[in-house]
Amino acid sequence: MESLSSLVNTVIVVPLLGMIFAAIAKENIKDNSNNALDVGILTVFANLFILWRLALKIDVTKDGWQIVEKFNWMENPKIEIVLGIDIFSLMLIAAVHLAVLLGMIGVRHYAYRQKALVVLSLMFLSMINGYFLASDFFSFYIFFEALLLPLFMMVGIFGDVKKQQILYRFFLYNLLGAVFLFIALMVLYNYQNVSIREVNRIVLAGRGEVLIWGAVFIAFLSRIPIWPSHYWISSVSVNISNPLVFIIANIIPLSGVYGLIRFFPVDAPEALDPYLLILEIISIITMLIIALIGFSKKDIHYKIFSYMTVYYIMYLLGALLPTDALLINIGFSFFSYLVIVSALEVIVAHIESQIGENNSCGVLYSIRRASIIFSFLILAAIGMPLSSMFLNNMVIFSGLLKFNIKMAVCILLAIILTSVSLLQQLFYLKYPSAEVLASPRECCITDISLKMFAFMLLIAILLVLSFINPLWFIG
Amino acid sequence: MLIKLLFLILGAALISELVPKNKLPVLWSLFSSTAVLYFIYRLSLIGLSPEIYINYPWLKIPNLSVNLEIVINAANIYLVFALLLLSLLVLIQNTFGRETAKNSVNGLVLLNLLSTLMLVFAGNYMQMIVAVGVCDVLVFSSIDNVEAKKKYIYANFLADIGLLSIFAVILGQGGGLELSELAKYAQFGHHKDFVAIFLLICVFVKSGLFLFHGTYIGLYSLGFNRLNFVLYAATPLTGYLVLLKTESLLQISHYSYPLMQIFSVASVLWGAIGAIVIDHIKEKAVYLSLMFWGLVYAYTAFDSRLENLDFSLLLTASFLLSQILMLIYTAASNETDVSAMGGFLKNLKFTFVLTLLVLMSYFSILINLSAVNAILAWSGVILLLIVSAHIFSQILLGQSHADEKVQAMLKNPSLFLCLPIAVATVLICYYCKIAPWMLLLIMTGWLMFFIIRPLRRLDALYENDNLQEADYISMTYDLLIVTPVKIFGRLLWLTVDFVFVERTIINSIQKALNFMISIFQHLHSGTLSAAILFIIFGFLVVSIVWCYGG
Repeated sequence: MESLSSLVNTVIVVPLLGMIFAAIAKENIKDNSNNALDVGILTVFANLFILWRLALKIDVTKDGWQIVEKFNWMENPKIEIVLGIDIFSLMLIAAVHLAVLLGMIGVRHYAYRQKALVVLSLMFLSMINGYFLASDFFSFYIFFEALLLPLFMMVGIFGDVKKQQILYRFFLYNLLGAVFLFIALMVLYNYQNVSIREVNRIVLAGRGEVLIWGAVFIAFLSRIPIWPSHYWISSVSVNISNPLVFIIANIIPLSGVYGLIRFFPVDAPEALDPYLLILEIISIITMLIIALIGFSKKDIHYKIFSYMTVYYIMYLLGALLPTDALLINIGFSFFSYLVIVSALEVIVAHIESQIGENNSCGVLYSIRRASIIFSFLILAAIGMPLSSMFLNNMVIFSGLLKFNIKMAVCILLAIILTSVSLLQQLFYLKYPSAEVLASPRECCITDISLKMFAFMLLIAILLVLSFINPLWFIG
Repeated sequence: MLIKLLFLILGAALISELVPKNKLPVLWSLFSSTAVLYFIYRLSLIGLSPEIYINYPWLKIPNLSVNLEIVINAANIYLVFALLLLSLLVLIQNTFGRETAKNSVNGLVLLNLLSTLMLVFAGNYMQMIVAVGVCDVLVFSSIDNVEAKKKYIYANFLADIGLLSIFAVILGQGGGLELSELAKYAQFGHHKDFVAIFLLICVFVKSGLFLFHGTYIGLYSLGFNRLNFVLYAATPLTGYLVLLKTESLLQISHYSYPLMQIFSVASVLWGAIGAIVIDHIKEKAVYLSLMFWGLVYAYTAFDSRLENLDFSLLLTASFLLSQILMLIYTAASNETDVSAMGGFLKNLKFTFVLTLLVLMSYFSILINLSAVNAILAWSGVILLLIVSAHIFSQILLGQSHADEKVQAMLKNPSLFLCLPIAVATVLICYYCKIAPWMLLLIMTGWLMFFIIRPLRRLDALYENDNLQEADYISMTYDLLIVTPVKIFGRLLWLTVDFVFVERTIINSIQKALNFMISIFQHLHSGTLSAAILFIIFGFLVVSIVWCYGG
């Protein structure tokens, strides 16, 4: 176990090293070489290998951090950086790696500032790994904020026409969250310096309890697409055409859900009970509104965003139930969910790059490989038994139903609406209308490359394996 | 042995799926058929009362421990045989028929066979739901028409979500995963009416009963063999199997049986009417299947559940009747309208004999079922007699309305297509006890109806385009659900996102920030008024601290 503990910080360090190598990689625009991207892909694979080694040593039946590593940062005030890993963090880290890997594969033919894109995405990967591994106040807060920095720069560089407005919203909402969390953590640290998992044991006096826990809640909620903070995430999603940036932007809500799960693994503080009901009501209303808007909109990015929102909120509500029994199911489900959405986005970006401003109706009809993968992903996304989402979502849903059947029925409605709107999109992209058939496209549409198809098939197999056994990689 | 046989089918399925679409299709089809035939042979060796029980721990994650169960016993052996026989018939028709993607369809048929078998074997509802879901994905893949695909997946996806929700309710209340434990839900469960009614609606959707039959009517554009496969060996069957496995849940609500009675009787009647008045031969086949599934559900609804042997025989007979329609369709050079047929008896004598054989077996099974529920059985006999006599007399008797090409090409389909149907019919006759006098009486009645055609006035309805092309269910669905939801979604986007968040909240904050920035800019402008303002502000802060600070 001693030798393994160093692997925990390696998970953070490897992407940073990769980032440096990518930054100094030679970029030759003339022969369109992807040195930086190759470094990025290699780094992700290397980290996935390290994660697998870690996974082999983790006892899945045990609760709590399993491999813990401590560093003394300062003596006065006493600041200690503590990193740890459990199966839940591991599943999320693996999912984020695969999502970023998919994004990198998806941007292989994007020539515009590819090196910057790879460098920033590796930086993001390192920061989010740190966030999932952090088990003390300071590293938790540092990584929580630091993971926004690369995304902020990415939106600035790769954003579309309205990027100034988006950056403004991005800054506004996240500043609010950052300030609230900073104040809350400072107060909590003053009370008692404990690990993140024990933080809910801190007993605060009087009104302070509501204010501090409320601030923590608002900080995390500002990252989750719950009304009205859904607006900045939806703006980013709709206005970004680069698949890697889109994927990273849509991983941000995960940091909010994860924060809430880590701070309140079993139950939110009693003082917040009256407000929790309000939060749940707002969450469900948001789910329904976003699902309805997604159903009525034609933009596939918005449909994917609406799908992601509904599921994020469902996982959040599952995490807020007064039990920690669902935690592992949420982890397993998150894994497939992130991989599916990322792969979908890569295919969508490929389609958009092929058709430009033209009508996308029936575009998949002429590109068979992309069509097969897209159909599979949509079927897996809507909850067919093709990924770990199928059974684990059922378990999460059973928890929600047990808790409040009316709430669960509303969630069900939202899930149905988003799934149906994804199916609509599948049919729209896959089957040309009579008008399109009558006047075939002038431009030639290229299918995804054989390499990419093989990689996507691997992802599909991975998803099916996660359905058969979510922990297949450790036997 | 059983595991090896299941793997044999899986192997054959994967090979069929992986070999290129047009690479030696007949050879690979024969290989698939042989694999199923071998399965039947090996299974027949262990007799009709086997006791095979295999329990394999499949999934062991927190909150969920699922076992994969493979059980073959006297209770389900006939169903297993029926499924194998139906799949074999589909594969053989595929081999010698006009299917364009033989290898791919064979693979899907075999995979569907496996998933349906897993459903038959299921002892827990996780295995059951997974088998149902896999079957849906496979059938979805086998449908090669966009509109049909859309209707199919929307309906069945909703049904699957419904099933998942029902079992999530049960799981949430600590009901365990075993299907045998469902009976206890009446003691500890909540939301009993919700569970029972929702379950019924889901199985109705899957089986395509009345009001939900639009899903299958839309399949008329499929090849006939694929259509028969979907109607009898795939999704509707899974719906009925789910009902059989979860029937104990229906008893927890007072509404479930009356609801099932209404829907099953309506399905039988609607199926019979549709089969008579609709011109398209494949749609007729769909309505016949609606009639069949309605009848099967009616037995459960009226508390006279069919034995596995009876159900298996009835399923096979109904499938064979649909196959006969397929033979006629093939013989008539894929003519789809019955109104464009007529007078085919001269050229299709062998097919007519085969039709009589299939009908005799069908009637025999229904006569046998009169011991279970006489009213239902005889109602089934009468309706089948009227409907089938009407359809076949239109096709085989009278004046020919076929065009010259069809008439010139008209001949009995090849022996390879007819022989399997004949053999399967003989098998049914072997297993059901035939009452010769009763059968003679019914067949005489059938021949009378066949020759006299008392419903011939209804032929005029074939000319009514409104009736033939009407799709009331889809129209209602679009009008009542899809359009309002889209309009509502658009309105929400305009009011919540655009007007409220963008124009009100974000704009207000932006203006407030701009206002503050302009104040600070003004303060830092270095003018005398700014300096005085600063001094006043400083005095204000000092005064506040003086008054309240100490």
